[in-house]
Amino acid sequence: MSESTDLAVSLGAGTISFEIDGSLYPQDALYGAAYVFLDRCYVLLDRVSDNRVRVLLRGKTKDAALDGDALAGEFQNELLGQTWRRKIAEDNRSLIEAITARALGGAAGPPGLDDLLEMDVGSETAFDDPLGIAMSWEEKYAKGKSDAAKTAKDAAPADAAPAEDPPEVTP
Amino acid sequence: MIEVRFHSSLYDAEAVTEAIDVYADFARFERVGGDAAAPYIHVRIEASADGEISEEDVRAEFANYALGRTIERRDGREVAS
Repeated sequence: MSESTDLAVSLGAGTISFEIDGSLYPQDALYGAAYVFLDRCYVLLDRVSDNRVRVLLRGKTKDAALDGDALAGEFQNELLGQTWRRKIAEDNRSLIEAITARALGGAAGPPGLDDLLEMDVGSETAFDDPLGIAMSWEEKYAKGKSDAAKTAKDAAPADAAPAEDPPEVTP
Repeated sequence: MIEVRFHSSLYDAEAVTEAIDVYADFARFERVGGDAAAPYIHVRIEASADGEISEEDVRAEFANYALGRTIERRDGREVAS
């Protein structure tokens, strides 16, 4: 086997051996791929050099049709998938953390009775409506009316007496 | 008797010990060399006298278990019961 390639070598009896370049595939990804294969293969890892790991795979079943090359190919595909998945997770770590934190905050639910009792609600603040939630839609969006009222208020002298109530109209 | 070696950068020593305990009923295990700084953990395996299970099968299952536990310990996972 060449030092610079990952060629698979069949060792007979359904056993295949190949080397992984550690500079391309991190050890976590190698573990991830090996773990996926543990239920159907015997997996043995060995370090060849600082940057290269040899993988030995042997199928658990005594199936003569077991293709060692296909097994090695599947393992390498899984290895690439694991590497890519880890890279995506690493690149998006801050986003994942932010979403998780927000989800956990939302899962805490509405405030409990103790939280409500601890809130600073007095007779002066109880009916404050800074966001205008208690206003009706007409009050909130009656632009022409509110503008006209504002204009009239601005035009009236400051010391003028308040206008009398409009005369009552009887049918 | 056969021997299996685990590179200490790839296999957790505690995981190998756990695997020895788990497979102790199927074969006799002997850890060769107790130097923690050694690059390899060597384990000799001798199948039980009845010969019901081959040494090679025990070795393969034992090595698989050691690798699985190494990965699980690394990820902070426990053995699925």
